[in-house]
Amino acid sequence: MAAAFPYTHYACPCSDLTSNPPASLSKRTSTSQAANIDTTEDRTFNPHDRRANYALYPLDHLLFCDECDSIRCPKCWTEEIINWYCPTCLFEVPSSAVKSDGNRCSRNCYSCPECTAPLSVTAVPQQASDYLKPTETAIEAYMLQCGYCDWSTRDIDMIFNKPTKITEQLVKLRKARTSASSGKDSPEKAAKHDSISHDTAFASLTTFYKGQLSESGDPQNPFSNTPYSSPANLARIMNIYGGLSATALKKSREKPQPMREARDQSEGFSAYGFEETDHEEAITSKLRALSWEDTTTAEQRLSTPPNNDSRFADQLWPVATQLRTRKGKRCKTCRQFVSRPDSKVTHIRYKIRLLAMNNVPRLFMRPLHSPNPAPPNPAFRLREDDPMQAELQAHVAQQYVLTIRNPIFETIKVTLATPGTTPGKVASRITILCPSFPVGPAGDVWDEALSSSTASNSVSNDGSRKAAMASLTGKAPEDADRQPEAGKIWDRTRNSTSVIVEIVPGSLRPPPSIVPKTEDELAAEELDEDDDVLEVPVYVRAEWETVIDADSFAPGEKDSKHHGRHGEKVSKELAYWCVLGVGRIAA
Amino acid sequence: MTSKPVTSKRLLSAPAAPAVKTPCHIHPSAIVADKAQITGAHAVEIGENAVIHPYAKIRAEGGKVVIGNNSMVYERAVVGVAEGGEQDVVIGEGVNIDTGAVIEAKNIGDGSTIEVNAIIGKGTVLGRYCKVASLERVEAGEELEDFMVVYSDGQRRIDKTMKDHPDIREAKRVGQEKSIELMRKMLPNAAAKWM
Repeated sequence: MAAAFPYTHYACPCSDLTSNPPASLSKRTSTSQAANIDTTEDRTFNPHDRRANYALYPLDHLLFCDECDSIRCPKCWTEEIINWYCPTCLFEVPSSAVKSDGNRCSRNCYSCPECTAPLSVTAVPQQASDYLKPTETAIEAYMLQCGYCDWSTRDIDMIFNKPTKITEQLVKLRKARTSASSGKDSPEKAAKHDSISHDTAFASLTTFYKGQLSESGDPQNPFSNTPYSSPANLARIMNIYGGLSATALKKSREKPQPMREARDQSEGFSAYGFEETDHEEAITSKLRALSWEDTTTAEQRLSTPPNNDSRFADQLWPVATQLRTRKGKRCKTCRQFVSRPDSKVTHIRYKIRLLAMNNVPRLFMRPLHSPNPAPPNPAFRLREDDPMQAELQAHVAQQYVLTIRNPIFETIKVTLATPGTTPGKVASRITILCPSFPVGPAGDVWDEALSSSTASNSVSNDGSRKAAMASLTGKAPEDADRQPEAGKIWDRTRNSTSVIVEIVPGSLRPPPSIVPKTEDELAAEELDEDDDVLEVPVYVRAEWETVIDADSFAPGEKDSKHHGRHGEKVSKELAYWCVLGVGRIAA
Repeated sequence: MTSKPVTSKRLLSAPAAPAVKTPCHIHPSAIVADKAQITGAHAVEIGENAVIHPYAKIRAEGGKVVIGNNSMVYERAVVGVAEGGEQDVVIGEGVNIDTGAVIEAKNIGDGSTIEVNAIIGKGTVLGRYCKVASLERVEAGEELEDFMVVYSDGQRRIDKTMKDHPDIREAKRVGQEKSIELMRKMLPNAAAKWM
């Protein structure tokens, strides 16, 4: 994993690696071979499994569906386009216009073909002529100019008459140029002319294929339920109820031709021959004269359809800005929006945004004793490496504090489960000293400020000097001397609870065995990349009770989960695998 | 209590005043802001209608510095070679040197624009109507042709629009004159400090 230690990655229950909860951990033995792990039988999530990466996500990548009460990963939601807009002029384009005109802005938003900066409409300065009469109005002329590299449309000898409706003027100018260049070739040259212009080719191809589709009786929509979809059905029905004319009847009786491809230039297809034509001669002589910078790059040619055929930099056309979309995300199972942005382009708020962060208990891991007395203020940390980056020593027991933070407004009861040894080639022993505990609800900030911290058990109120010192410094005096005990919670705040986890990293090399190993066994013990990372899979199960209110589902709807009537308590549960990355084991 | 000799300490702790007064020839119509810095022993020539903004630095330590007519040097720009170099810096007419640029060129042609925080190395020669985009570098010793544009992390191109159309060059010149008029209204002239 590329994340910095310590990290927590959460697994979405959609993957078959994670869908089965562990059966019973006390029966776990550590004899399973690395190569033979069958995840469905084992039921432990193996973070070193090659497919595990596809199921693990950091918490900020996950959303939550509250209808299904489960985590949704990017594979579990479908994206839906809410609207299209131009990023330059922020104009919202209706989807009908997008279907007809294409996915580019049709309003004056163009980018420079040389440097991709936005082009602005500027007036062409008028020649100050001494002979200009005062009554004569100046000729209005406009051009598109790049603010960054100073490219302008005057480089391709193009001037506009008005500052608005640039798209129309560009289309007209383009038609004028392509028809002028094709008109220059005489009819006998046209036969040898190998390539036709992009626009004529596109137009011929679309008409040809549309014709083919209607002629060949293509099955339009295999999912539609009309009785007239197959050509045989249609012909039969038309025969029964009478055809329209002789030709129509004849056509319906004949077997429809299969669809074919375009064959010649009239249909839009052009082939390149081996003979050099004069047209190419001109291009090659021009190429010899110019330098590398005067030719177009592939990127420039692909930037917009008018540039597809341009070979030289002085043929480049301004690039229309591509439209962007606003997407909403829907849960695949229940089709509810889990993320829905505002449809107004300038509003960046979301109408619906169900983040996993706000619905799922979060886990954090840190070492109990930090080796160097680092200053508590992260701004003063000089070096990137902190205690978690140092490599772990094999067979040396380490203690970590695992904190569970509860984002929802009810008290939850958390049960943690982890295999006794980590799955994978390197077996480290994991022990959670207190696997089952409650975590308080998240409340408003005022709750904490107004009420005293009665939940905190580390500061005593007995009026002694120790307690007074503790309340001044903000931490318990016995912090450094506390020993972790099995079955006890380490720390508890308003909405988080910490427990101790003891980890004994395993050795990277297996112990030397008396019996010589076969080649297969030796190969199986070789460590791949990232096998030395100590990752602890933890199965988290949270249970809580919540009160149903009438707003959460439509009146009259029967939901099998919510048996209770309005106001009754219902118990809910959420369970998921997550992987805690602890560190790398030193060789 | 004995009085300690404080005066000697005070002298040592005071910042060293510039020892040499730079020989400046500033045209009477030029505007040099009060907070501008002109240092060095060599001559500094500031042409007609030129504008030097506050905190601009003109270092005439390695050679003389000439700023042409109608040119502007913006804030925190540095014109002139650093210590140890021996080279004159000549800025042409109508040249705009934007904020933070470092100019150590031998010659910058008329009508050029050096944008924000660009770095022009030692001994370079820029042609007329060049444009160096922001944060670009022109390495030492390079020569740029007339109408060259340096943009996008070292790419070069010839500005055809400027080259083929004298009316655009004229428009740029008029624009530069208008900016200078505006700066004249906004900056109080303290050229007398260096004359």
